[in-house]
Amino acid sequence: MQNQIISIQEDCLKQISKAKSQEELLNIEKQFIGKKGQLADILKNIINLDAKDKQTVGKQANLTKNTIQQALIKQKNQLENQDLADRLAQEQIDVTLPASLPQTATINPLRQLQKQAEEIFESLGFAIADGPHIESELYNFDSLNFKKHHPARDFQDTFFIEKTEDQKHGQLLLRTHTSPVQIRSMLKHGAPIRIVIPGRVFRNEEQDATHDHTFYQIEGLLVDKNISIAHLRGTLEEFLSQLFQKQITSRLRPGYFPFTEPSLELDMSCVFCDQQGCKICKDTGFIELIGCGMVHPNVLTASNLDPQKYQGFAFGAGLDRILMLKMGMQSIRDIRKNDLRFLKQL
Amino acid sequence: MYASFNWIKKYIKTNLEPHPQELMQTLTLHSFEVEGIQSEQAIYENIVIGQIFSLQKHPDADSLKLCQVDIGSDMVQIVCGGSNLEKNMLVAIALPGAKVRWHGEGDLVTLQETKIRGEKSFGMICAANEIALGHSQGKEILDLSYTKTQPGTSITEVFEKKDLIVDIDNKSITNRPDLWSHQGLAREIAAVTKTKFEPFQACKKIKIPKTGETANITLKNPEIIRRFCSIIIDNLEVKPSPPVIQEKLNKCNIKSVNNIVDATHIVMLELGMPMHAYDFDSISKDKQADLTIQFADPKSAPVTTLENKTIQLKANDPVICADKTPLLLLGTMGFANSSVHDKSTKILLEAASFDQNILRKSNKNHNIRSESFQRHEKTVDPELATDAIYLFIETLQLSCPNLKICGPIQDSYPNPYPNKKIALELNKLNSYLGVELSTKQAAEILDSIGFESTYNKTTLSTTPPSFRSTGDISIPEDLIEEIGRLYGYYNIPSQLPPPITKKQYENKSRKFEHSLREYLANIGLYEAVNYSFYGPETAQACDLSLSNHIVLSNGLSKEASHMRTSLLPGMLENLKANHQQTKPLQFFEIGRTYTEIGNFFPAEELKLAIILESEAENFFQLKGIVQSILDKYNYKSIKLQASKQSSQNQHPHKILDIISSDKKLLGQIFGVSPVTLKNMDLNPNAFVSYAHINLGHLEHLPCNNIKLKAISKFPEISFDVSVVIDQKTSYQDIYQQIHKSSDLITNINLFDNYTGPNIQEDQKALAFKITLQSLDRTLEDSDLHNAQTQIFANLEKIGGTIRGK
Repeated sequence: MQNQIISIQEDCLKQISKAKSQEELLNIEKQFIGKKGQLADILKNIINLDAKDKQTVGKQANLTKNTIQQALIKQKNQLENQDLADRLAQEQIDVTLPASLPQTATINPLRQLQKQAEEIFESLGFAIADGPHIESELYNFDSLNFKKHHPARDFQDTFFIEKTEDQKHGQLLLRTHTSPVQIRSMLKHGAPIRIVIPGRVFRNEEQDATHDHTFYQIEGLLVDKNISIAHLRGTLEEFLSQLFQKQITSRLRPGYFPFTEPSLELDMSCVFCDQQGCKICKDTGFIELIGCGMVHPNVLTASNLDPQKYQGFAFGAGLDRILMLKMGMQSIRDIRKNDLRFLKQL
Repeated sequence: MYASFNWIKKYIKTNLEPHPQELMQTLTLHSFEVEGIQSEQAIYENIVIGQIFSLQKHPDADSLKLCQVDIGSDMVQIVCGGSNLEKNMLVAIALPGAKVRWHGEGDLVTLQETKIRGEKSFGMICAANEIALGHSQGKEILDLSYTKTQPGTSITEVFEKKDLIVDIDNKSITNRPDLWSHQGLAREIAAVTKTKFEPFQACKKIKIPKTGETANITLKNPEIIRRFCSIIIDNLEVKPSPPVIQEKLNKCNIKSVNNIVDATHIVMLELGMPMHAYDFDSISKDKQADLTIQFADPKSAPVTTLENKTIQLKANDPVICADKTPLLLLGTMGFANSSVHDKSTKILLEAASFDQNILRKSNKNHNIRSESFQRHEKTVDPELATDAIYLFIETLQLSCPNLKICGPIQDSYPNPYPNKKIALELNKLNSYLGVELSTKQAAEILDSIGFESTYNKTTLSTTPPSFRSTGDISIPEDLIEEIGRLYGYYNIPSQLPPPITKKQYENKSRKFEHSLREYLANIGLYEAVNYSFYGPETAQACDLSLSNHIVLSNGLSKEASHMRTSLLPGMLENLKANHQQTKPLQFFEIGRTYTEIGNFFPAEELKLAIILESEAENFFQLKGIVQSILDKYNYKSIKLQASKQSSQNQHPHKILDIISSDKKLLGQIFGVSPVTLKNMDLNPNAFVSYAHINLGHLEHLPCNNIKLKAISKFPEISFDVSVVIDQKTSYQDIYQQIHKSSDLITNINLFDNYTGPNIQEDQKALAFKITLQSLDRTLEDSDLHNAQTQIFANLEKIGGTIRGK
């Protein structure tokens, strides 16, 4: 009987080592150590043995069973590993095939820039202000020190609304700049005040590659005590440096706006050629960018602030122009068309 | 505006030969924007005198000749088609590198050595108009034999082309009438280049008599003028101006007319005061000119201007009249009835300054932006009047040496310039500029441009000169500007402002807007940005009522006259613009609408609009997007509810109202009616769904805080319910019935919604998976049974039949 068990073990281990699949292993297990397997078959006769032999044979049978089981597990593992290795060998893909992208879209570039600008100014302590697009002559012109018959008020530049004039407000119009929000904000919040006003403005002008009747400005206002042109320069250089992610220097020169005195123009150092001279800066090393100045005392007075007590700076730049510079665009039209072929590039 | 630097130099004592680039830079940094400075030398670079040595026919072209030309240093071959070429003729040769204007037209072209029909040509022989040396006839080249110069001599030497032409940006000198003249520019340039300015000196040889003929000027409306001077001049002959005058005008881009008109233009360009010459015989009666300055009679007959335009004068037009006949729209343009003509021999010359507001108001009537008006609308310095008269006479004497001055200068000066002192505190100056200047430095700067200043340690007191006090300089801040720009704004250091002393308010609504943008883009919607207006036809195509639209009185076109009350038209246009792109198209826009509400200011509201276009139903996708926005920002109290009404642009059966808990309509989700799609030239068979939400209203609603619930440790049980019910019964109602059936229900999931075979025509079969769970115990069979029974009962109550019950 013991010999039988030894032979079963030998026979079984031989078969296990030859097995090529999990299925075969299952059959082997069933055939040798299953409930009705060869080992069980032999052990049926164990009752005929004497007590001592019973013990010896029982031990031997258990040992054999364990050995077979170990061998089965070992072979099973080997077969599994072999399968995985086969799969790895088979699963060859061209990883350079196009990616399958998640379905996402893009934010309009103008809005992205606006947000970026807002965040920079917020980090400098400015609040974001806003006002109506449909404005009155009072806020759009009078309060901003535009004399009654200033040429900028002329019909050609301003869209007027068909509506009876108001005694206090004059005619209703589409704001030609974001500056009326200066007045509204100072009237509402008083001083000191630090605000930026990004927004849509309108001019009655024909459209061309770089001009549109609707465009976007970002306006800033800081009114406090002892605010100077040095602070204006510092603020704008910081803004531009963060926006263009490059150290920007500026050049201040005289300008003219009715609502600032003195009035200035700020040119930024050319970011395209590092002031070596290029087509974009017309070889001057500077790009004309921001109109600015110290708030005119008449504007402060119109906003119920005492010009003897408070002074400050204001500035305004075209967001479209900054965007065109940043993205190297030749025409404003591309931004306006809402063409997916354009938007998908962003 | 163009200015000649040689002309400017007449008023600068020191010898000044600036490099054009440097001058441009200096002026830009201190005074005004210079568009460009062209040196005539650069214009004529590489253009030299050549002598034609020999002429031969071109072997391959009948109209061309091969010329051997002596250019001093060399003998070169040039191919030329000039009709008047002759041996030994002196001509202008543009060598390779020279800039010429082909046939006097188009842009400048830089020449290169080339071959014409196989023959080498080293440059070209120029016609007069190709190098701006006069007019050309037919194919004639410019014959310069009369100059008797050596071949090789530069054209700049022959014609003394050594001037610089300064091109000034008019906008940057809108508030500086003094800079609209060569004298004014000289004063400015002398100050910024630290050289010495020499003001105009009247020619001492001109003697104006103390008595004699003068015009009789009546000031019916004296507010029109600041000053009005005139003088009568006789013995004139109208003829072309001498070349020196023509050249000066040419450089400044002013057309030469005749000697008299040209003289008025010379004065305008040199001193900045526009003048007018009236034909004396046309304005006088019995040799006496009686003129009245007044507002026009709107009932008077239409008049013809010098530019041959007929205009009807209005009651606010300032005019000068002789016997009630208007002769001139003051400060703007003369009329044909009184202007100088070929036979004029006697003139009345006007030198005047006007009220800018009256002129500007009047200009709106006729929109004549003459050279004269452009200066007068900024208020011309009234003190210039007598200088102007002297300079006019001096200029005209070049062509009419025997002219006769008939009498003294008539002078009406009702509104002199203010001549007022302005005080400036040093503290204020330095706190504005952010630098440390002394009153002495500031005073010196001001005095360099004609101010007269006194100062002590802390205060400066100054009187602006007449030419700066016509509106430009009146308050201390104006002085700060003058000091700042001449000191050089670029010298001001860069410094961040002091830290904030008051907390700024937060713009939550803008933050919400940006966050919404980011979310929508991330889930696959592209952001559109559309214009604020459209045309009435578009509004009607989209079935928007015209009555509550705000209308522009001067819109650019019929397509841009109505302020949008809805973002729908713009977004439909977006679909149209992208119709060739693969579907689905998905856009959103965050923008304002403008609605007439009866107040002076209309309602401006910030809206979010979303549009989807695809080839299959997308309504529920859009509903999902809207729902996800409400979920994301925790607007739990907002309900989406089937709408009871529809408008023309909506699919009548695909409308949901977005309703706040206080029953306010915040927006809608709807299928766009195929009729509207057709009206807008879109495919009517496409599925287009549109949603809009009033963000202004949304923002003001409370956001619910998220309350997290514990997760049950007890197992959940689920079962299916299948019900057949009338098609008209809404899902929402069925859901309600199930939901209220048991407190243990944690999830109701619709997994089938069937209509068709095996079901009655007006019925639908819905199948739900219902999940039950408790937080505090394991559920028993009885719980399941009770829930099921209640659900069945509730569904039957609303007419449902439970399948497989």
